[in-house]
Amino acid sequence: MSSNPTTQRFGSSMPSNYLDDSDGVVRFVPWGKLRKDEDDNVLGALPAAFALRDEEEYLSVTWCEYFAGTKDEKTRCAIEAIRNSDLKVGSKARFALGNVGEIRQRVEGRQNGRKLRIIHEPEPDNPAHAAIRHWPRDDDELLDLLAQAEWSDILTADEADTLPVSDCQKSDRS
Amino acid sequence: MNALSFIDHSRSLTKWIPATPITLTGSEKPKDLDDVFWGIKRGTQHREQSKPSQTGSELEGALRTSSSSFKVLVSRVSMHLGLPWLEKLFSQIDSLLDIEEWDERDPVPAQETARTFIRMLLILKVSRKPGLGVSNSGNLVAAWTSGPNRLTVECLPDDKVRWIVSRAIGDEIERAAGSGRIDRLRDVLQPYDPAVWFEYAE
Repeated sequence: MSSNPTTQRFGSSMPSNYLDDSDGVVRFVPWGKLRKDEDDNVLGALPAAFALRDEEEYLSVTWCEYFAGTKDEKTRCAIEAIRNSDLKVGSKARFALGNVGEIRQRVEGRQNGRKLRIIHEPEPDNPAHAAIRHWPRDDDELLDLLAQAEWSDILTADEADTLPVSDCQKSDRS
Repeated sequence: MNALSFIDHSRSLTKWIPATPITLTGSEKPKDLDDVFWGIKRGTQHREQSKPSQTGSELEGALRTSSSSFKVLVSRVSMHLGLPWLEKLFSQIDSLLDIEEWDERDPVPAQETARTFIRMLLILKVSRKPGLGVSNSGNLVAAWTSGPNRLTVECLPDDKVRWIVSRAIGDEIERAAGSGRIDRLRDVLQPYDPAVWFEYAE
């Protein structure tokens, strides 16, 4: 839903397409960012899975509601968008499913927490890419909490493959 | 053939011939950790950086070098860790630095982070071994998990660490994060009863 005032970007006046609190997002979690035990059994995601790199201005996710269909179909399409992107998706990587409203509540509820801007920002290799701007840096406790709670629903490649397949048409909101 | 070549050419521990004899106690603390790491100079190790322009073969070479360096470091303290733990660590690092799973945006771990990681394990004298991950900066991350109790430690160069604790105390979850030196880590964690992470439950 485009629900916000026009923003000026690069000399144009394109309205920002903000994600709704009811929307779902998928975060790619490579093998190295997974929380494991001493036998490499996966227990979840490390806080590092949700940390900004030094050169990043926003946290990258894939927007499920970019696609039409049922909830599971949209999730599958989002995962396929990640798989088809420039990211190298290894067989042991995972996909963390999150809800925009829950993530927002957790992050903005922190002391001195900034209001997040979660915007659909398509990229050449991922048309469903969304940017979570004003994502906090250096709040390790928060990232650990997100890994335990709002982003604890993690799918393996095999689990992702059990989700229903659709033609991944764009939704009216995209 | 030196120890590095042995490790580089043999991924199976059964084929690896250690430079020093291995004992199976795994419980003795070295008198001086610096003696253990003799010959490994701080800050002089070339940092293996994976760059966007690196080819796949260059990255694979960098990962293999990093893995070999880690194994050489571990081998120097094998008498303090014991053979089962040695095997486990070798398996974990091979898994972490697998070219098929490696995120090309991450710098390849340098020897300094491995040094801090191993020294931390020796100082903490843990029985329960951590899981292994990597940070966006290419630092090794040790993770201990026991139900809702989580300890995550990023191993920075020069014996420094960043740690995050999530500890169930009664009906509450206490959370904390901090940074400091590895020789202070156990003291800092003491209020959280670190046995929940470092010891196997009876």
